[in-house]
Amino acid sequence: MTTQLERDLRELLADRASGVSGGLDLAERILASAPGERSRREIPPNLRRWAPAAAAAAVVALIAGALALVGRNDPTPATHHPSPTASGIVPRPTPNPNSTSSAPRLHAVSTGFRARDLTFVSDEQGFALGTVPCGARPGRCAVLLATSDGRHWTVRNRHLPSALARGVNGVRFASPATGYAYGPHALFMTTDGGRSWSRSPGGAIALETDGQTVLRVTSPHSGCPAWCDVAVQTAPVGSSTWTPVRLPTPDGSGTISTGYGVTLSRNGTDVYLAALGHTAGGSADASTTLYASHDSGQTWTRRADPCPFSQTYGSPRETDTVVIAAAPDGVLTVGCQPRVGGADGFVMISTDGGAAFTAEPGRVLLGEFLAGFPSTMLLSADQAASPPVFLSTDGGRTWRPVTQVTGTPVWVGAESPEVAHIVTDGGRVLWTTRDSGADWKSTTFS
Amino acid sequence: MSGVEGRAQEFATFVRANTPALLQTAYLLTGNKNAAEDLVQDTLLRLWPKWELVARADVPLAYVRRSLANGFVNSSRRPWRREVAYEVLPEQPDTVDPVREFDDRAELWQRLSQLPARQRTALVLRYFDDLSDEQISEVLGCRDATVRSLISRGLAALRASSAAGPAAHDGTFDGMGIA
Repeated sequence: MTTQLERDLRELLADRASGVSGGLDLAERILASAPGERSRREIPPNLRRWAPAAAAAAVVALIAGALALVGRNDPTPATHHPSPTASGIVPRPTPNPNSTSSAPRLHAVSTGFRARDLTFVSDEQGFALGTVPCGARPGRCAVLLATSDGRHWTVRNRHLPSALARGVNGVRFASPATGYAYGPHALFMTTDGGRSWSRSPGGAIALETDGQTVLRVTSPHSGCPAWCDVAVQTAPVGSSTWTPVRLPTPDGSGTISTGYGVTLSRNGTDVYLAALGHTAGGSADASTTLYASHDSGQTWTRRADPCPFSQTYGSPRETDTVVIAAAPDGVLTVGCQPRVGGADGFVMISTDGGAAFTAEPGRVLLGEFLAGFPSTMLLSADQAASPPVFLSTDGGRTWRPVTQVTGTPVWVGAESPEVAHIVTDGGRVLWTTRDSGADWKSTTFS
Repeated sequence: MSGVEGRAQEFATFVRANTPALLQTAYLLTGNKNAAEDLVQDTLLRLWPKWELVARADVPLAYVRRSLANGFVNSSRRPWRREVAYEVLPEQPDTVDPVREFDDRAELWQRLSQLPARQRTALVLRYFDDLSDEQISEVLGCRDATVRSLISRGLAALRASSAAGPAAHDGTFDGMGIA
């Protein structure tokens, strides 16, 4: 019978081993040095007789040839490129009884894992914050998973502090070592890949990083009807010293006093914060205010609502900004949803950092998620729609359903123009595309 | 393809296919990434001149793994190797909230590092590489009964050196809020 110590030891070894990278680089160094190996160790007599200088040179050539023939298969890590996922409004996940039965089981991990938030530092390296059953104890325990190849996930930390577990719903890593777990009233930082965490003051309702700096959106309390006195702070990655940033708000206060909510999106030094208008209308201004920064959140410009009254339906109809997605080079995609009537929405694309937008003709029911890069892959997902996920490869001019992905999406993110992930089925299933949405492969966390 | 070309290609194929896994095992043995890389490199370069022999073995990987494990055990006997550096990363100072995290996994790793080399090797080969007693005995060059004794004593030592009981910080979670 396996004891708890044996189970813990097995998990510990698997966890520690999973953090060991560089094996393929080491392999190449070994192959490169094999023919030129000086005899630190004695060359066996048979080899001395067999390998005169000419043959040794031939061995060098053959090793080089073998290198060319066999070819490298280690993925070159992409430049650290934290996933430009939508942040700020985290929808309540809806359990889906139709779990995917054909998906192959993921490597290791605990059974019953449900992901709540993911973060990628490259196309393949990432982390997943989620929960597992606690076993004999009631409730669920928070755990952190890690992957180095985007396919196999192992437990990085299954003993997250209870203060962290209770208070956070988001995770972002700036690098394989440094990351943040955050919630409205809790902020934790790790500098060892999630193995240990320290607490910082305050919390965050949204947090994004470009690997150099980290920006968080804070709110001391909720209500009014969502977040109140929303403010922005920045810090160098790895630092616990946060600097307040003043937003150019209409009332001059520097903070967003009230609103339906905020959504944050970032790509590199371009950061966009949309303060959503109150869609219940009434006497309050129901327009969204868009704040744009192109220097990692140091300075901001206030922009008009990207989704004003729309004439595209033939009669004036108010549309609301519901989602935003930042892409490189000042490209910003905004999802505009008609306020009434249940009609499909559309996207507006800016190529100048939010100064001007062009409405795209394609119609899609916009919901909680928008991610991607207009030039190659835009993903829109609505939990209530069927099918829930739509793809555009022409910048929003046309949309088609992604029928391969089944289950209700609870997380959508695009790591690059080619690579994107979707989590469905209450956080149990991970779908991945590596060809801009043409094909999707699924694996289960549990 | 000549014998030399074939051997070179076999070696290259083997190295590329197995170095990542060997590096993981080596890291678990040594506790140090640099030492693990040295161990793997030394092992494979030592075997390269006699690769024909390795390739003829029933399971070449087992042959290499045996050489790796022996290399580690032998190195642990040299006086200059007895001081082994382990990658135990320090906690960041908690400047505001004095709540201190208890990570029993880090403690288990530390306890594992303090075991004698042969016990540690047996545990790693059993609980990471999932080798049987017979396979471990081939790697360590000992009898099956000795393997069972090494594992039993290793586990007993891990239990005995535990100063605290179950984790005081259970990380129990009863729900994640939404923003």
